[in-house]
Amino acid sequence: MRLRTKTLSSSSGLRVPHRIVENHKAGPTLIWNKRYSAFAQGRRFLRVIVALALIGHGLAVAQMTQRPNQPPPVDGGPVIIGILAPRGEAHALAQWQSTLQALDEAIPRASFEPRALTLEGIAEAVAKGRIDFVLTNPGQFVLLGTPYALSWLATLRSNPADSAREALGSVLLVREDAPYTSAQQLIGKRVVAVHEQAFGGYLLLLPQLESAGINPGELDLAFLGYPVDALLYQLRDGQAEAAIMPVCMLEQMAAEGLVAPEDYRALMSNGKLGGCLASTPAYPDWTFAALPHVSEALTADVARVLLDMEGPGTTRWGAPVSAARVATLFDDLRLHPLQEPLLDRLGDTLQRYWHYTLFAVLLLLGGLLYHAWIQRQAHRHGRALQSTQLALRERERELASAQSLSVSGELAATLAHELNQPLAAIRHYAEGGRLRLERQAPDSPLLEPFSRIGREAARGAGIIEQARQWIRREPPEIERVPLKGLLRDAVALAEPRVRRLAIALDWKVRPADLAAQGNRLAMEQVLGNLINNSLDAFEADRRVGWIRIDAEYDAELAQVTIRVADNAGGFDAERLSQPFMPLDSSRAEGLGLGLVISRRLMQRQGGAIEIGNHARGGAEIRLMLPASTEDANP
Amino acid sequence: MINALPVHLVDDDAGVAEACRYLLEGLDLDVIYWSRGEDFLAGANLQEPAAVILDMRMPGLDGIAVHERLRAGSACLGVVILTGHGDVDLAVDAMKRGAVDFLQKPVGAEALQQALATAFDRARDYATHRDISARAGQLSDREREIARCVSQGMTNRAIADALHIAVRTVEVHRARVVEKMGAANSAELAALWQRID
Repeated sequence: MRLRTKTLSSSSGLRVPHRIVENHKAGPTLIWNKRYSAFAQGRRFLRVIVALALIGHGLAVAQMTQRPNQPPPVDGGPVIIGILAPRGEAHALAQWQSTLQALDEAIPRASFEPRALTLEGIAEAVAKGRIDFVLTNPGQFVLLGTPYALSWLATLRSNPADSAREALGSVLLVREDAPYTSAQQLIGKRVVAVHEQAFGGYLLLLPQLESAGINPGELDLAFLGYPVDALLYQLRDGQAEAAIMPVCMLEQMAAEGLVAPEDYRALMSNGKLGGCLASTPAYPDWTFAALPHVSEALTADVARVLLDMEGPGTTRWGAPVSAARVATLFDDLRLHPLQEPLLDRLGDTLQRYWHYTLFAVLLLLGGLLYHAWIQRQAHRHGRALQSTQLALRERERELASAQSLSVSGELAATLAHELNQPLAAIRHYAEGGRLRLERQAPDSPLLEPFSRIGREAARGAGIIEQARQWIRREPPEIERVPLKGLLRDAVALAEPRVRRLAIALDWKVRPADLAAQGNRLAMEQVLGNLINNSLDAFEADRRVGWIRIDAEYDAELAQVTIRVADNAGGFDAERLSQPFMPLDSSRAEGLGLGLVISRRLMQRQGGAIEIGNHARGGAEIRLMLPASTEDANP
Repeated sequence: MINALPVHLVDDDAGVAEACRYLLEGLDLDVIYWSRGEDFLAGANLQEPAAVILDMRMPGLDGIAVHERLRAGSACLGVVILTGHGDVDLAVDAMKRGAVDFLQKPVGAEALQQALATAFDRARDYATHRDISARAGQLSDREREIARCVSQGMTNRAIADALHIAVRTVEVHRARVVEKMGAANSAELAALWQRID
């Protein structure tokens, strides 16, 4: 099975004949140029894709183009001769009547039956082996000959020069009174032809057009099918600006009195061919050929009869002429049947295994869609994740800066306190000493230095106090703090450490819309300190456990209690006796400021913190804040 | 210091407390030192008029907590709060609780002396009030009525009329009330009674 995109048995060729005829009857409306006028391989590839898309239909086509099971030799039965009928059946029968008669007379054992066919009809008939002989133009013969192993019996000698070598050609006709002097002027104009595969017509003219720099796609081409006469009538009636016709067709019709030859002239004229207007060089004439299933005896007989035909009024046949020029022409047009381009072969293969191809294409399409979907999801997800990460990092940064402010404030306060103590002692001693000296030795020169010691100590303490006042910050802004969001964020910030230490961190807020009056950042800071304290304890003891955070509403006190509990062992008695003493950490690193800062933050928000142990071997810290009575959705 | 009373010094920082004791002794005061609030509450005679210097920041019971317990126990102590940091809120709070002064470390001799003088007066007031209340507690209901009337400056005649008793009876009761309350005369009785009523 093969896809013959270049032969007349191609999918398009098989599908179109009826439509061509119909369209001819209904008027020349079928415009082929868009899809078929260009033979560039790119287009071909496009056709392969289209074929894949229409693969169901392709199967039918493929089956039709399947090499037929050859019928038995026809000796005794009717011998069918397929005849290309460019001007209709009657004309064809009349034209070849003498040849048929000669065959009937010379070979009585066979009954010859002519069958007038279109280009596609012949191609299909040859492909299916429905005919035994074929009488067609050399273009079609070259296209069909090799793939179907046709035997070349004779070449027509019909022109006045009586040479079979100079017979066929195409002419591009315009009306005599038309303004066109070159083919370029036809760009965009309506040009009619028989068929894109018509040899003595469009095919022969195509190289001329291309060498004149005209892309056939630029013409408003219409392929009207047989009979050829219709082209000339359209040209005459002004329905077309030009017609691509076989040479001598005009002259023949003129001889029949159908048209006036002086009303037309040829463009791209190469001089006359056998007295006829022509736009192309001449190519060998029509060919009589036998299909391979025909017996050798019959073939030989037919060949002999053809070559022996003589006398006035009879058709004259000569020895077969080389179709090399035709083949060269086809090579130029990239149409040669033996020269299947790689893409075509790929197309053939794809179509042959169409169900695999279909599956692969569907798989590929599905894969592509899935890939696109995944990418989109990943992109969207990534963006959301990124923004969450950014928000979290921003929050972390804010908290870190608040915490470092708290730490520096707490350190300054502690330092101020600790320095104040010795200063107080100094002052006390100085004053106490002075008082004693005053009594014992009122004139002592030491009295003045004692006073000065006391005053200097007071001055030092004053500086410290000033610095402390300066460090003191404005009280935090009190706002409504929804606890769900607060706990969720606090837990999210601790997440990396929690995961690393494999701690189960749970939290719950009851009721879910519970809110406190406080400062959100301060509360995050406090919760962060408490969670980190717990994690420090777990880490120090290298143990695994849980942290639970519960926020509840205490209706009696109209306050919110947040309980942070763990099972990391709890506080020892000494620590519990003075939990808020700074610079007294039970852990190796850190300053033990977490609880001190937490207490200060809670106090500054008008809340409180209580520290203790619960019965199950862990710490329990309770944070109290006034409940927010504002409506959750103001 | 004249009219001095003992001074309790409650401070967890032994170094500072020792210095403070040195200063207070320079003022000829008797100093009783306690390093923990709990120890002070348990060991000191809180009914004996005295001054107490409370450090605000202590482990365990801090200055505020100790002060709170002293109030609850009707101690006869004048309270001076000492703090490392002059926190206005804390100061106001302490004064509301009845502290006589709120001093910031390092405190000078003079400021301390003045605060202690006030604290002594306050302690004596507490003691007097406590004594008068104790004596008033020994009066009968009728005597209490007559004492109240005297303190309001009523004559014997007026009292007799008000209570529907004989003037003579009023005179007898009145003499007994003056004696029981330890007053020298009716004017002194009136002054004493006004302090507790």
